[in-house]
This record gives sequence, structure tokens and C-alpha cells, in this order.
Amino acid sequence: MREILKSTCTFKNLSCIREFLKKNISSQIENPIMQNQLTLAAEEVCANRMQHANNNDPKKPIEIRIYTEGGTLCIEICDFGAPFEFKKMDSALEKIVQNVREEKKCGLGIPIISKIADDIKFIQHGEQFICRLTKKMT
Amino acid sequence: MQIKITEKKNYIIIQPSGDLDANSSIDMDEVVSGYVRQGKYNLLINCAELNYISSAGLGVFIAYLKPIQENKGRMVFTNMSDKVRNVFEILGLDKLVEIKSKEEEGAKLFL
Repeated sequence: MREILKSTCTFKNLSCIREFLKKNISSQIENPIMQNQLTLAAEEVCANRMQHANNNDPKKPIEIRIYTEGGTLCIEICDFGAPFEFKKMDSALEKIVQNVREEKKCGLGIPIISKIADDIKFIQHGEQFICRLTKKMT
Repeated sequence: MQIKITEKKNYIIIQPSGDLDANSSIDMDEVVSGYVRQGKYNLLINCAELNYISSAGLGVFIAYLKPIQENKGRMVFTNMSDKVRNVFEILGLDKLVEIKSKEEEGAKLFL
């Protein structure tokens, strides 16, 4: 199984990307909570890349690929924006408390991705930047 | 996403329906910030019709927790689906905000 969605970097496309993710994740994973978690984690990467690497420019492409490798579901988010990596965070609560204290709205995407994905890899292919999330399906 | 609002004597009921993501969170931010600016710090968020929430949606509520709590107000969430509640739990947010099963239970906190 390999499904690909080609889209562009505007938040208006998030609902369409979400539907693509939901449809293809639910065909591989039965648990609705896990389906929602993986949809959320992949959408968080998309929103992050759209905003911070592509300045929400609707002319810039973003591609989402879903495929399975053995018993693992892989989701790749590919674009041509500025490369950046983030580290997996162990404590989400610490970040939340900081946001409450500083009255900040942003910065919760990475704790969510960290909590949900088994592994996060960043791959540079020429000018293309790929963020790959993986999750064991069992 | 649509947002239904009911203004009660002591509190405001905010009922989003659909998906609260980075795109639609701007609308929710206008609603919540509007009431906080007016000094209305008792907010009940009825999530019965909320299908999906992302970090941007959560961020809107988190950003106003401090001014609400400092002004002796409350932000209470009710009627969450398992999916939405799970997102709160992933971040540990269920330990920081008040969550009640039913709107009636949440409403009692404002009486």
C-alpha cells in the first residue's frame, strides 16, 4: 500500500490533508483513538512545515505519503522549505505549564508528535526535506 | 467549524462544532479573547459537537488559562468525545483544566 497526496502550504488545505490521512490510516489501523492520534501527529508536522519552513505560501508544494513496511505504518511529509529538525520531547506537561505561564498559544505540536510517533526521522534529498513518522501497527 | 455561544447570567457557554485546527483556531481565539477582554472569565466549553482538535486549538485555550485563573474565573470543558479527551491526555492537559462529563455538571461550578 502506498498513497500520495500532493497539496500546497496553506492552513486552508489542512482539512483536505486530514481527510486523506484519516482515510488511509483507518484502512490500516482499527483502533479509532490510534487513528486520530496518527492523523493528529502527521497534521502537526504539516502545519509546522507550512508555517515555519514555507511561510504559509500557497504556491509552495507539500506532499504526504503513507505506506506500510512490514508491520509499521510510515507517513512522510515532504516539501522544499528550509530544513529543520526537532528533538523528541519526553515531558509534554512541562511545555504546557510553560505556555500557561507565558500565555503562549504555539509550540505544542512537537510534544504531541513526540508522544504519538514511535520514531521521527529527518531526511534531506537535494532540496527536498522529508519528515518521516513511523508507528508499529500492532 | 462553527461556534455556538450562549450567554448565561454567570458564565458563557461556547460550543464549537466540527474540527478545531490551525485554520479554524483563529475564530475560536477571537471568541475566547473577546470574552476575556470584556472581563468575562467564566467559560464553559461544551465539546459535544467537536470532532477534532489539534495543538493550535488547544493553544487557544491554554493561552487564556492564566488571566482567567488570576481573575478567579474558570474554564470548564464538558461533553468530550473519547478522541478529543485523548488529545488532552496526551499532553497532560487533563491535569490542568477542569473536565466534566456533562454540561449540567460543569454549569453547577458557576452557581
